[in-house]
Amino acid sequence: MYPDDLLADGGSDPIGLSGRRSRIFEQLRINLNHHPATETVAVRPTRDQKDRKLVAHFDTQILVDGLVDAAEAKLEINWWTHPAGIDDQFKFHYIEPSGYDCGWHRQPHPEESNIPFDHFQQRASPESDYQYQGVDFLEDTPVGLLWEVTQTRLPRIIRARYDPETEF
Amino acid sequence: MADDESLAPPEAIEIGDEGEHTDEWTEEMPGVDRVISVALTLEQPRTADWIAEQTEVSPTTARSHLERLVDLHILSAVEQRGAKTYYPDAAYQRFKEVSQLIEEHTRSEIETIAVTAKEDIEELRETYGVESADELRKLATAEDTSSTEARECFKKASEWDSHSHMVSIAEEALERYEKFSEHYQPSVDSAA
Repeated sequence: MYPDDLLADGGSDPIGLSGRRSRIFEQLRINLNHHPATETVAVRPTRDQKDRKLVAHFDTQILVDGLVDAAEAKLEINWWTHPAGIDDQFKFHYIEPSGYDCGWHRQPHPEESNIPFDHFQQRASPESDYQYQGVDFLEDTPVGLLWEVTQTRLPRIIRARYDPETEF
Repeated sequence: MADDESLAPPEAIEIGDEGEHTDEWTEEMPGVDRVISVALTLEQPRTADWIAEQTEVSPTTARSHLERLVDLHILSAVEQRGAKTYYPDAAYQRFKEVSQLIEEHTRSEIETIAVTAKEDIEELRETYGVESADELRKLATAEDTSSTEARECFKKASEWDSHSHMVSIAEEALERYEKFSEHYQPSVDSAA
């Protein structure tokens, strides 16, 4: 499973997929720039300063037709590539000025092993505990997942929170 | 808004197998751009049919775009089990990354990028007591490693790979800096 030719940033890679993580960041950035609600996209250091993430600022007037009071909200994205045969890890995390934040993650919880790797998590404010729910992602590729989250999943969450009349 | 009221209900979190969930993608990005985005992020070589399915273009269209990208050396093609598969062209991608670094940064900034990446690698080496990202992945598969710990090791190995990749790109950029930066200098009007 772990041959000697494991290469940097691509895992088991006999024919040159090295640098995949940086290409994923670049393509996610390009796709975010094509999203109608995107105002800016930037690469920023993570909280521990040891890694980087993509941060997109959205115009919520466009994202959910003005349903949210806040003029702006942000989506933070990170992606960790693994060798072929092992699912990559990722997170798409939405943060509102109201204090609410939520995210779609493919990651283990550091302490709770009963939370599925593929999950949604949300909390009302940074002082609250997260609530978790397992999800089944529909798309297989990084850019497909980006559009699945930004077109369907995120607007549904925002509508559900701000418009109690919404039917699903 | 009370805490509970501000959370989205479970039914908003589940979505069905909706055909329209990436309509915006097909509206906002042309087929060729979708093919490029998927082809450049592949985890293994894939057929035109597979890429067509992921990008919502016809197999014929996908094949046509992919062949053009091979002509441009953006992608490479290889036969696997009787099928033609596509994946990013390593030489082109590397050249592009080195060029971008030189265009966007001064020599001194590139030196700092290389040093920082080396420091981050050193910290990972000390934290996990291993000499490489591959060893960290092997540690993940040890018998006494829980699945959560294993995923953390894989995640840190991915970050380690990124740092190694950056060191390698930055070092090549520094070697080529003088030559490239001359090439990218705007011409100066000597009569001004």
